[in-house]
Amino acid sequence: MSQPLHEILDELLRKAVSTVEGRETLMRYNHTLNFEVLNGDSFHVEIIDGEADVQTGASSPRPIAEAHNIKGNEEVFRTWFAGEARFSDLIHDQRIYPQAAHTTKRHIDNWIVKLVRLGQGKPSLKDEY
Amino acid sequence: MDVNPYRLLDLLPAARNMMDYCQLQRGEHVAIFADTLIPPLVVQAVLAAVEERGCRPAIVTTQPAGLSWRQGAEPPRAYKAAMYASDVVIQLKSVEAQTFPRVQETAMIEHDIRMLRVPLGNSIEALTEEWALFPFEVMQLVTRKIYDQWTEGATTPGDVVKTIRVQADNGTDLTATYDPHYVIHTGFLFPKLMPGQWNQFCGATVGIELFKDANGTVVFDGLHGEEEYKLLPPAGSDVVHPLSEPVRWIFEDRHCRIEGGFEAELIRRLVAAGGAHADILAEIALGVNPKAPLNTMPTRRSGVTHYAVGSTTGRTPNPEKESAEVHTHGHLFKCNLWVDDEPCIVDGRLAVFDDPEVRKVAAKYGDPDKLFEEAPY
Repeated sequence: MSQPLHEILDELLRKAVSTVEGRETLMRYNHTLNFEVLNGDSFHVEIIDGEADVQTGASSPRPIAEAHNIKGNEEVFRTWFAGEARFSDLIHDQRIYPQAAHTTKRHIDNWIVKLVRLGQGKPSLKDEY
Repeated sequence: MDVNPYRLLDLLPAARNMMDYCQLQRGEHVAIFADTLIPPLVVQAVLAAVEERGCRPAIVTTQPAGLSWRQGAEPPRAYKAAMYASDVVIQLKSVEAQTFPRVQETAMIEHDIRMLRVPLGNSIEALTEEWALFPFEVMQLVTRKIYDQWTEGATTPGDVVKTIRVQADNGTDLTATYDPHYVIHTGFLFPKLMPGQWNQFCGATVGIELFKDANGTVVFDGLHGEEEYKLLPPAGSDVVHPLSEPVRWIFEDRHCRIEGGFEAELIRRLVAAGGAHADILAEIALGVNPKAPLNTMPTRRSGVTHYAVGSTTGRTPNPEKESAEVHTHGHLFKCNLWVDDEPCIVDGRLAVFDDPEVRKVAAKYGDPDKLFEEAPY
């Protein structure tokens, strides 16, 4: 049986905060992210003052400015968390659906993407240049 | 003979204001993307302003946006590399349309960049005009107030549905319902531009990009944002105004029927080429800058509303997969606009300009009445 998605995210965030960059990045916002799994078990993470709490199910309702919602099928989240696809490509391939179009929450998309990448142990993409 | 009456010093105040809009930090790497229709003096002014901030600039000259924003267009590798490797990207654009959206989205989401988009037309005058000095702090607060009004009461998770109505004396009367999660703004949610965000220089907009329903008619004063529009009067501009006869978009259950003269026929052809979902309402938005010139930057002008059909991929990702290959616009100069019966635009003027908090912040930059007075052009 495969590891539940919420456990994978929890592990990624724990690895991310084991680095200075990860701890600094986690502190960037206080925000709740709901991962709405269209064909599986949804989960969410609340990040407050640099502390991340991953739980199953949807979060309690939060003001729209303090919470984000990302929809997708279970295998798509697995692909992203495993580092086999970029979040931005999943959007453009219409496999993942972050709320609020192309402006309002892109900084939050960038934030969780960076945290996941740090959890995967991947270097900053700017290091390529 | 040199007919250019402007000097670098004439352009520097606006170029320095750009630096406030992207909030450069000393030592950051800045890529200035300028298409070939942007006057060299403008590029030099922006370069000087970046260097003044102690940053490391590079200039990338590109082709004019043209049709490059259409889905699937790929830029040269060097374009991508410059964008991905920078901390901040400043785009000087002769056409407002978004260029290479997939590359830009990737740069913001994966590469942590902040982006400032600067639609200038192709005139030097654009940077010497009053609109280009509008203070970031005031624009940020005005935008935030409107965003809060359009999303009031919404939660995540949550399924609040709100209603927007636009009415004007020219026959416009359009009512649409929307999920507030799809209210957008151009990067002014915070006092600081964050990695992954972009904003539009002196030209915030607030809009909605996905609707549950839309019925009624909008009658345009002008069109904008398509390369093809450069062939219509006034020639050379991607803004079409005045129209030879009214262009009407008539919505039934979100789908649009387009009526009017030859301008309407051009839109019909664009939409027909955009696939099955290209006639679906995909944007109602407003501008907030009272000094933005109506003829060249109508969508940035306070109280001007603009509308689009066709949701390009990445713009409004939704499982219904109603993506289109085009996202094409028209605009309306003066209207009344309500969100859930609360006034947002009253007789063409943003109601938020009378908000006490907004006026207090505006007073830091001069007389609020003068700052919010609409330009006569």
